Amino acid sequence: MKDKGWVVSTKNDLAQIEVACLTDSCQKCAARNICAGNNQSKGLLTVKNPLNADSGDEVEIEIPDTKYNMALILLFGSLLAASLLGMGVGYVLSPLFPLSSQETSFFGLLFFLILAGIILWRHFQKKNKAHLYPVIIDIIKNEGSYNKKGGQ
Amino acid sequence: MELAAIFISAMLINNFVFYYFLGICPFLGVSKKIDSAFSMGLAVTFVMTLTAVVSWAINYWILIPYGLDYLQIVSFILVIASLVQLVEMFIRKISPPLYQAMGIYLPLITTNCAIMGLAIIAARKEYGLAETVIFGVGAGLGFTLAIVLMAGIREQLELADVPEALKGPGIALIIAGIMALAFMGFSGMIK
Repeated sequence: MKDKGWVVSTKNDLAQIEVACLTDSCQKCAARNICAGNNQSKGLLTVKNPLNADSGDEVEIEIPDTKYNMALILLFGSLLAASLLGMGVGYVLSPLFPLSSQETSFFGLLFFLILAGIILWRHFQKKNKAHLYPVIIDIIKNEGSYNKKGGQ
Repeated sequence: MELAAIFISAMLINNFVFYYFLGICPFLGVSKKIDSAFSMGLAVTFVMTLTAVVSWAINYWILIPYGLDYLQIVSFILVIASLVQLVEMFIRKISPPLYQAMGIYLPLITTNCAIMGLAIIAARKEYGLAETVIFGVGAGLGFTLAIVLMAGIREQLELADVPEALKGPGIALIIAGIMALAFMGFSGMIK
């Protein structure tokens, strides 16, 4: 997925860019008026800046689809698997508790879901999050450098 | 065996998109690219399963014992909105870039009638917890299958010579109709 935006600020190897509208995903969407991606509200995105773009530059960005899909599968897949596992464990352990099998299944499901949430949270905290950020792949207009030179 | 039947039924035979025609807005709106469709499908599957569980608990532990069945729709709406907010907060907390990329899909789930439909249908069928969860997972995977298949066809359609008047929603609805007919072929699987 590619898009265009303007660099607002830079910090280390990341940059904040302003996008008028996520053109690929939002332009023809019927729900644009109810979400933040409409024309009036400009969104701010944090992106990786391997080309060292400066503030004011117009840039093209790309979201790494494969990594993004893998992260989504990991996130939702593990939460779903944990829920099913928790329900099964709760059902199996139900004779040990003074509760009905449905109640133990429900609490088992909740417990495993929360546990999976904590494990995922730790996993994403440890892992370098930067690999999921969109990447600047081209500087369309080098306005930032131009402004710097003009100012000198 | 009964759980397997519920799963297959929810995913293929009584597919929420092609049988009930629920969730048509995201089905048409987010089915232009396979990647976006897959993301949306995964998010919907998770929210559907969670909604099925929580609405089951509210229905059987609060609404029915206290004779508050008439509050089903209101309480299910609240459950769906709260769950989507919770999932949104969770993703924002654990991975801001993922939240940034998923931004548009999560609010769309709140207004997805397939999720509301799932909660109501599960309550009407008087499923137990296990049946409800399997029904939710099956329905979510069925929605994912439908939206990803549709996205695959629409990506190919970009190269086709579609008459001007049919471009966009027109041809998408015709394809949805043909796919619904194709999915009717699954109806003999479970007696």
